Parts: sequence; C-alpha cells; structure tokens
Amino acid sequence: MLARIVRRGLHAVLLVAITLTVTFFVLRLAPGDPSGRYLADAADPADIARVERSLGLDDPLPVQFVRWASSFLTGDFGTSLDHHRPVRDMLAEAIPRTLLLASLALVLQIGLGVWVGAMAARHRHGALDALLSVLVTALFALPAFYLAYLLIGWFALDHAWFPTAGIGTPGLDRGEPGWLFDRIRHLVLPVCVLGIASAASFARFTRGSLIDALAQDYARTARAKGLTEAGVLWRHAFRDALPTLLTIAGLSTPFLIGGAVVVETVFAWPGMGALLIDAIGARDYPVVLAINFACACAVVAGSFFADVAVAWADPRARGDDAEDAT
Amino acid sequence: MRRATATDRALIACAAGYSLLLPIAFAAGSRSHTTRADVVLAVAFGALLWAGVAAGRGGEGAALQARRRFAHNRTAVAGLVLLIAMVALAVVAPLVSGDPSAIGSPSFERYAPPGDGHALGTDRFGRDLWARVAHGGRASFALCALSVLLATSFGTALGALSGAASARVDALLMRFVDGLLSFPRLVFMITLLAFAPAGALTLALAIAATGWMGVARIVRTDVRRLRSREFSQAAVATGVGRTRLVARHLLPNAVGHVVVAATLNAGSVILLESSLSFLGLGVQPPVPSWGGMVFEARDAIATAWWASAVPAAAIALSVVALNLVGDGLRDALETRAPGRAAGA
Repeated sequence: MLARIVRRGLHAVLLVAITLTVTFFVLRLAPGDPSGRYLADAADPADIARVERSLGLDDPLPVQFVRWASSFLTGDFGTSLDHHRPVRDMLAEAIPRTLLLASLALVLQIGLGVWVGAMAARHRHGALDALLSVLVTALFALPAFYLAYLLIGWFALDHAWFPTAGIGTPGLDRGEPGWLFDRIRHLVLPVCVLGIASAASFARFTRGSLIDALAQDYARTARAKGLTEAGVLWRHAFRDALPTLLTIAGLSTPFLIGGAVVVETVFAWPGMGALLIDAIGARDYPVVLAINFACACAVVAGSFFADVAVAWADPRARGDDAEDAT
Repeated sequence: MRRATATDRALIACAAGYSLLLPIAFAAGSRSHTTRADVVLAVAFGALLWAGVAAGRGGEGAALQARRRFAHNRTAVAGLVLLIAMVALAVVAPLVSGDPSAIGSPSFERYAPPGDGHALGTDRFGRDLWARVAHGGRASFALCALSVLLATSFGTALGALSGAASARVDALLMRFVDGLLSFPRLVFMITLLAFAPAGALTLALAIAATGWMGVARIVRTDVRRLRSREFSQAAVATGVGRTRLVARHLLPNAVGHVVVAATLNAGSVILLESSLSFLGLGVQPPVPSWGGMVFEARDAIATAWWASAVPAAAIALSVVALNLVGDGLRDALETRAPGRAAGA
C-alpha cells in the first residue's frame, strides 16, 4: 500500500510539472510584448532591449522556463498588473474561501448523492426510482446558475431566510457575537447550489454501481441468510461500490472548481473563481496563470487523495503491480 | 436490402420534411437574423439525418443488431425525437416565429406574461420570448456541432497516433493528456478565451481545445486493445502497414465509443455555452442565446419567472435529449466507455 501511495505521489508530481509547462507556454502565447507593460508604444529599441534584459527575456527559453518554474514552485507568482499586489497574497486570501465552499459542497454532494442513489437502487424500476431519476436528470441538465437564481428568488428574496450574496455582513468583525452564525448563513445557499448540482451525476453513478452490486451472487447469498434488504444494501453492496464511488468523487474536483467559478460569481463570493473572472476582465495574466496552476494542483491533489482512499477501501487495489493501463 | 420498418419510415419522413422545409425557412429568414453559420448548421443536420437513414437501410450484422436495440429502447428514441425537434425548431425559427430582436410588437411591454400575442411572454426589452428561444437554439447547436466535430477529430487523430506509437511515445502523449485534464475545463476555457480575440470561432475553438482529451484516451485504449487481437495480427501478417492497419482495421472498430463520447460531449457543450454566456464570455448580444437569455432575466426571477424558465427549459431539454441519445447509443453498441461523461 505504501508503494502504491509513493508511486501515485510521484505521478502527481509529474502531473504538476506538466501543468506547469502548459501554463508557461500559455503565458508565452499571451498577446503583447511584456516590455509593453512598462514602456510607451513608441519606445526606443534600446530601452526595450534594456527592459527585456532586466526582465530576463533575452535568455534562452529553457533558462527562462527553469527560472520561472522555480519561482512559481516557491510560491512567487509575480505581481498583479491590475492591483499592483503580490499575486501570492491575493491567492492566500482567495484559496481558503474557495476550498471552504468546494469542500462543504463535496460533503453535500457525497451525502446527497449516496442517499438519493441508494434510495433509487433500493426501489429500482419502481415509482420512486422513476421520480428520483427524473429529478436527477433535470438537475443534471439545468445550468447551475439558474438553480442559484431560483434558490435566491425563493429563500433570499421571498422569505429573506438567507442573504442573497457576499461572505458576511459588512462591519460584523470576527469575534463579535453572531459572527459565526452570520458566516454560516452566507455559506448555505452557495454550498447548496454547488453541492446539489454535482450531487446529480454522483447519484446516477451511485445508483448504477449499487444496482450492479445488488445483482451479484453474494447479495443473493446475504438475502438467503436472512439479511434485510437495507442490510444487504449498506453492508454488502455499498462496501463493494465504495472504491468506484471514491474514484468518482476524486474525479469530481474539476467539476466542483469549475462550478465554483459560476457560483462565486452569482453570490459575489470573493474566492478564486471571482478573482479569475476579475483578472480575465482586466487582462491580468499573472493572476490568471497562478489561478490556473492552483486549480490544476487542487485537481491533482483530489485524484491523489481519492487514490489513497481507494487503496484503503479496496484490498484488491493494494497490490503493488495493480497499475492501471492509462 | 431488408424491408423498411416503422422507425425507418419515420426517419425518412423526418429527413424529407426537413429537407423540404430548409429552403423555405431560409427564404423566410433572409430578412431577419440568418447567418452563414446557421445555413451550415442546417445543411449539416440535414446531411446527418439522411446519413442516419442510409446507415439504417444498409446495415447488416452487428450494425443492424445495434440499430434494433436502439429502436427498441423507448427512452433513447424519445431522446432522438426530442433532439430532432429541438434542432429543427432552431432551423425553421424564421418560419414559426417573428423577429427575435423586434422590440414591442404588437405593443411594447416589458416582461409580458405568456398569452396575448406573445405565446411565451416577453423579456425585459419587450422582445418575444418564443422568437428568441427558437432563434437562440441556432447559436447553441452551431457551437455544439462545430466544437464537437473539431474536438472529436483531433481527439481521434491523437488517440490513434498514441495507440499506434511505441510505448515511450504513447506514455509521453498520455501524460500530456493527463496534464491537460488536470485543468478544470471551465477554468481552462475561460483562460484561453482571455488570450484570444472574441468571436464565435474563438469560442468553438476554446471549447474544442478543452474537450478532445476524453476522446483521445478512449480511442487510444481501443487501438491498443485491438492491436493485440487476432484479426489485427492477421492483417499485419498479410503485409498491411501500420498506418493502414490503424485507419482501416482498428479505427472502424472504435467508432462506437467515439460516437457515444461525442454525443455526451455535445450535451456538456450546451451547458458550458450557457455558463460562458452567464460569465459574459459566450455568444455576444444581440445574437440570442439560451444562456444569455437566462442571464438577462435573472433579476426578474421572482416577478417574471417565465423569462428565465423558458430558455432554461430549452437548455435542459437539449441536454437531456443528447444524454438520452448518448446513453441509448452506448447501450445499443454494448460499449462500456470509461465514464468521463460528466464534464464541466
């Protein structure tokens, strides 16, 4: 198992290196000469050469890449062209907020998805299954932001149970009475939108794997021994489906982060997604690339943790030579 | 040639009716908002319909069985009918509705409820929602068709290359694909759009550039798997070269997986387009697009729910139709494609 974790860890490091390379070349593709950000259009060629030398732009490309990559890996993402602040500080504020949103949504996604999927699997091909599958299909096919505005219209405008947007009531500082409650109230709607939207596909997968598992011989044996249907479902079938579900949960990180961009925009949640949209509008390339890199790292980390969890949940996957072919 | 079944006749009727309506629709729409992309989409869809008819009639053996399985799958057929109806509505939009940009005809009214002169009500500028939702499908489906075509061809080519190449080149290419897959699709796409000039073609290219990796992996796995099969070894033994082996013997056997992946990919493109429109990076106004319509009506969701519900329903119906067809094709072709369909 340790060997598997180490091998998977190396794979993750390799992936991060690849994403770093891709990011570098996207940066090279950015329109406009970097020196143009410091000089007027009709600058003297000698000045341009001087700026390029001071920025290290006259070095060979591999040298530039190594220097750029090492500064990136040590967390030096440069300075924002729009806000004139270190990109690292901006990310340090935004990333925890997005992680909070995405991780709570992941919990909701798994909880809701497993619950709905298990209900559907237990009543498979019955009326409840049909009803749930219509509901899940509709949720899967609706744009997340429409769901967000529906929830805002109902819970925030009609009933004022939750605030429409923001991360907390302005002026209410940490430590004041009611601060935590205020924060939680602001979290409820964004987490629900993100979690419900991603729970739809998770419920489909859960239903599928549970129905496959319930058709196996061991499920029939368990029923023959006198176990209740719920017992068969949770103790045997779910245990069998767990590795698959963990893998899918790990693969849903890109979906959660992509969804976070939309949800953060709807709810004016000042996380990475909102920062990305801002930076795109301002053509703030250092911020855009740092966010891309951070997102890629989050996705790689998500699939790494899912792998470790699968190894924990599935004895068959612990073998050292169980490398999949992809 | 076998006898035509009821499904065949229905499909032929669809294709014939569509082909007849096509020129009339464009004659009627020439005054309003018909672009070159609309014409290309409409003709391509007609060709696809006739190709479906041809494939159905000429099929034998495994293809015929797959077709029968699909025809017996009621939800899949319902999805196909829904899909044809949605695309046909987009194509014949000028025939069945008015000008999507006309403000206040017959009378100016913001957010008029459904009924009275406007079958589905009006939007915030008093424009007819029925006309806008019918025309809005053109942008969505054209983008969908172009980007899925680009992504599928590139993914297939790279997957075939990787599958046919030596183990080292294969590993290199697949690690590159893994690396690209590590970027969340929406984030990656937004980034690409930031670096390129705005426009419909850029949009399609950005969607395609972030959507080919799944297909590449599927094709690569198929080619690698089929390479060791006996028919492939037999072909090599008779002196077939590597390029010809892949193109003529291996790829035709992977077509099922590719078609399924492309159909499911098309469903996610519709959703992605709406997300991009919502973020202001999608189809630009005044061209009507479903995502943009939901976005424009968002503030009135409590007072004029229909203005956002109508385009949202159009998005949901198209995505459901594409997913039903994709799932039906997967079942019919008995393929167990690696489940990376849920894209965003």
